[in-house]
Amino acid sequence: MNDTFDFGRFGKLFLYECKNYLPLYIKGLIVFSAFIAAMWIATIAFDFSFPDRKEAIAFLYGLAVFLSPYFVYKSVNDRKKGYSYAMVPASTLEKLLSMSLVSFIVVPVAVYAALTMTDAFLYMLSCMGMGRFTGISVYNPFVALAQFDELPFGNAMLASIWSISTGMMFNAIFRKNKIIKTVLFNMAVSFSMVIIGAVVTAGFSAETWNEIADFLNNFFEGYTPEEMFALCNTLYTFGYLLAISVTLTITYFRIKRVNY
Amino acid sequence: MIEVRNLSFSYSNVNVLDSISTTFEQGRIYGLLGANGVGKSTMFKLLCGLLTTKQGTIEIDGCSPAGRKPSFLSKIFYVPEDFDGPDMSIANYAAGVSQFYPNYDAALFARLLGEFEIDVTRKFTSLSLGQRKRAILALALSLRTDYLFLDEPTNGLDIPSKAEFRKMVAAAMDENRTIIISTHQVRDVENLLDHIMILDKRAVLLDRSVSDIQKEYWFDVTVNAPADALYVEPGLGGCCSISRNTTGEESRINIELLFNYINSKK
Repeated sequence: MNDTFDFGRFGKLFLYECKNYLPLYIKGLIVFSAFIAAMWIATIAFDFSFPDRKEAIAFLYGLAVFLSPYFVYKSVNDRKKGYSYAMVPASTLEKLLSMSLVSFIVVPVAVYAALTMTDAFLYMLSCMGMGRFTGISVYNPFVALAQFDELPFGNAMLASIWSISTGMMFNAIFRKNKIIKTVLFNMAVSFSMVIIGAVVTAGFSAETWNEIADFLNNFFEGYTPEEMFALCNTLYTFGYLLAISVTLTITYFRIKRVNY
Repeated sequence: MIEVRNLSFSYSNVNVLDSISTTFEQGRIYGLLGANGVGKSTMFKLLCGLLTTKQGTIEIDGCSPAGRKPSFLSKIFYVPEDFDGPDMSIANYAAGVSQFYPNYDAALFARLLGEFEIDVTRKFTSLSLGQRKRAILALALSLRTDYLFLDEPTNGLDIPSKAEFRKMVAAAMDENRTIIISTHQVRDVENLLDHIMILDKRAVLLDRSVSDIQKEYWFDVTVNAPADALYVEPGLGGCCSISRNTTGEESRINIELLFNYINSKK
């Protein structure tokens, strides 16, 4: 028996997890679809029209997808309930890959389908004279993210995967109050970086700033703005890939070594 | 075979197991006894690889549990004291879990559930504690793993279910399996065990087969305490006592009395 990776065993694990978490998916999808239904009811009851329903759906999508690891794999490191996950006869690599597939593909597709279908269904009712939903809000999360951050499509997708993998990592690290601790941790890191940056750059003289500006000018000399943009995007791509690799590696070792 | 050598474990500053060494052989049902907090559940978690050993080693068929290798995990199954079960039907759960265990016997699972009077279509979340316990015990026995660890298996079971449980475990036993049962309800498993291990924080106080214990000690209930008794407790109908077995005959072991005797000597 191959103890590192077996395709057949991985397939079984992936299907098992999809089936195991199905009730949770359904509940989550109902909750998020209910938000759209609430918007629709608001248009009927209070004659309220949403100027940009697409953005609201995009927000719901982002929230559902980025929070999903915290709900789907909530008990992965739980001292009492987590044992059943740890004892499934599959390797840590298979467990991580299955978790990644579920978090990166299954949940986003399911959430997207549920929100779009709910919206389409309510629009159909609107066409029948009920409510005022005008048009189906077909929303492409990656295109929207790309527009928002001015990122190319590929980097937008990597940014999304990085966010989800960060969620997977913190979900595996923290045992309780996972979401709050993740938010606080990110705030603390951001705050520290700003302070460190401010402290370091405060000591820079005008001469140092000029040297940095000269270095950047020399570095980008001969590049057209398009080429500079392309270079930055390539650096972003490597940055995202590195960040995803780091978060997945930490998640791997955490799953492998967590005590129950 | 399970080999435990110089095993020590502590939670933060609380020492739970200290230099424990023992072996668990195939084809036997072990009763793991001990006072609250001596580390019976911790021992199970260490055997399953759910906890990592801090000192000492554990080897199960030459494999360290802490590696949690699939080939190792498919040989063991652990039923904890509190089993909540997922939000899905017993049938779906069993279908999902069993595919990882090569010796799973679906017909046996159906039969055991029938004997326990559990409807396979019901969700775990809709079952009582006792019903959940019966369902997971039926699954645990039908997975036919080489090693089965049962933590307080009879807690929450009604009287008929306890009798069924004993019957099922006895029937599920074969020469390749090792079953370790940790319990405080010693009377529920009294006739089932063929090896008794009494655990203390500092040491294994007793690690003997039932036949060895019967050869060495004589368990009796008499009106007056025998003069040569090693240990006596007042009980219904007189005095429950343990004496040296000088006759060569075998008496029925009173595990509770044995436990109290061994603990009184430490």
